[in-house]
Amino acid sequence: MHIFDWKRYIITFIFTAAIVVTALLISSWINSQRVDELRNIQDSISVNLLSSDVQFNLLRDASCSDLFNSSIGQELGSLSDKLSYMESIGRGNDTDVVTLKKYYSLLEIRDYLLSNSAASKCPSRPVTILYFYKANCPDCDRQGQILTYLRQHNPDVLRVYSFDHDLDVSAVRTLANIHKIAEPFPNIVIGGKTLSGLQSIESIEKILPILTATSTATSSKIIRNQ
Amino acid sequence: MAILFVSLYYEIFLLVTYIERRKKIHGVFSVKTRTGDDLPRVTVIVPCFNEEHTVSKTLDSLLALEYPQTKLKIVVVNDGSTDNTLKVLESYRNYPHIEILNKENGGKHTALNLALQQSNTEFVGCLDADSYARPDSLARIIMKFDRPEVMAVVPSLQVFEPKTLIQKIQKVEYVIGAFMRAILAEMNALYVTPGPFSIFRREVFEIVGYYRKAHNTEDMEMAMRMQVNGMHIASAHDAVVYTSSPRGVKTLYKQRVRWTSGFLNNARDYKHMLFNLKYGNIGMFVMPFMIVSSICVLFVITSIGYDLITMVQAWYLRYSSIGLNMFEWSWPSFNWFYIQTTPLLFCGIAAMSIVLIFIILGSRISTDNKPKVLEIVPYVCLYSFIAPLWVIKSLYNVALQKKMSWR
Repeated sequence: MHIFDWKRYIITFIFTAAIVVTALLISSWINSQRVDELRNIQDSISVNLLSSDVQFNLLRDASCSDLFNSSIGQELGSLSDKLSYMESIGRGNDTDVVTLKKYYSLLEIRDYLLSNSAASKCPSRPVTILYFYKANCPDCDRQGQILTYLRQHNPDVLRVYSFDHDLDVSAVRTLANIHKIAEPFPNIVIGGKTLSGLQSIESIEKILPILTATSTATSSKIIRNQ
Repeated sequence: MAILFVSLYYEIFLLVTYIERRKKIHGVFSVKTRTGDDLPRVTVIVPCFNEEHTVSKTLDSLLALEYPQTKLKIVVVNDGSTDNTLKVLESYRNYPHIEILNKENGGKHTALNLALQQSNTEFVGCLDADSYARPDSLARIIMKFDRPEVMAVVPSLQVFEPKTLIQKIQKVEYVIGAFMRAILAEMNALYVTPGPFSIFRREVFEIVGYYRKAHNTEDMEMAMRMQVNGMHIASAHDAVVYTSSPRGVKTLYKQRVRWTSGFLNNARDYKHMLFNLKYGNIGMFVMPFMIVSSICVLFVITSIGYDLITMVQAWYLRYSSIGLNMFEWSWPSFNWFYIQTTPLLFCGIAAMSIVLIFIILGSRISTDNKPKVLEIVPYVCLYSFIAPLWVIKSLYNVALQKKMSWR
């Protein structure tokens, strides 16, 4: 004798739906925590930048190490990695993330300007690369990998400022216009010179020999320690 | 996500049924309530085809049953074995309650039917010649027939002396299987009466007929036929029967392709049961779920394949960008920010947790077979990756009507 117990099927549906809804809520909560974390990093960078800016403008005697303390570079790098991760998990177009990306771009420009204005005072300041990319551009992904690799291997001497060319920020557009950013993407700007298309590690190291020197020094230090 | 919802639904349904019926499931019948003259006469049929290595142990286990010899008849059918099976069987000729039949090879169902036709006891069962009954198992099974509506009883199957990794994985799988069978029995939705020691009332065969040739899974076909006839199949999860299990991936794969293809082919033969309210839980839920979950494996494999391709593409991108530098060693750093936290992950964790609950509950109800952590971990890590292999092959076989061999 077969029976079909509707009640049990409905109870099961309620439990299953509750688990799925809980999963959705937890996932959404963690994502909001991620956005909060990004905001905290940006606030920290903003305060550090402002502090450097004020020192530079008011005291004029701030040391180069204060102006270019590597924590700002590391924080910008960390923020860049995290924003890239948000893009890779498909949350790049979330309103919060887009706003943070815009803010991040502005922080980058500000750090870049501060770096330029201190050029005469600090000749051994970190070298800078401006990197303009676009969505759906495989070479941009490759360029991103190359620049991340170089940045990670030269944390004290290289700062990479990456800009989404499609991002609706007038300051980014102005910066792109100044440097005559155009197809084909990616574009990178080294020492005021704009290079269009994918640039290999070797070609970047050729333009910026300090990167090769640092990498070699780091490698030999590792070998010595072994 | 839909696939995970369906899987979760199935697991939760079993769990809800367990919670609802737990007192009944855990109620252990005392084997001492019936002794001697009270016990009914039982025939146990042992079909053999080339089982020279295992059949003595099978017969010894039957001889050691805590059941009066006068109430037990053992019929061993040699189904045209080409090895020394018959010679081994001859050494059991002197036991008065063992009968040995010899016939030309015709398949397991013909061996069973030959013995069934000659049996005249109230209860009849089968024990595959690679399985071994625990001494108290038959008495525990017979207790289940105290309920008049019960027409057949299936035991709790456990892996015999698991040694290899594959056997240890199966040990955990069998514990879950024992738990699921106990629940499915409560839902009257068992779709298999396994060859190792399922016992039937004799009238089952008088009503539904004898075994049929059924895609090398006669035990599934018989259960489905009983379900069509509204017969109740119960589970005696405290009646332990050990069965030899494949030692390696290749033999396991072959066995499971036979089982899964058999299920799908039988489900096709009994398609009128699907989504038919008349057949209750088995028609409306269990059989459709089993079929849908087999097909879902295709989607899951496609999705895993897509993820793998994406991963390889990402590696290639990295390689084409920074060359061999991508292999530079760096200490992995933990940052919660980069942990995948999709709803899918949490649903997956929930589904896996329920599987662990099944293992714990299964260990509780099947008294012998407590899996160890070192057996559960490989089960969790490996089983989901090897199971799709035989499901896909079975779907392919069923789609192309391929004939399966027994071994």
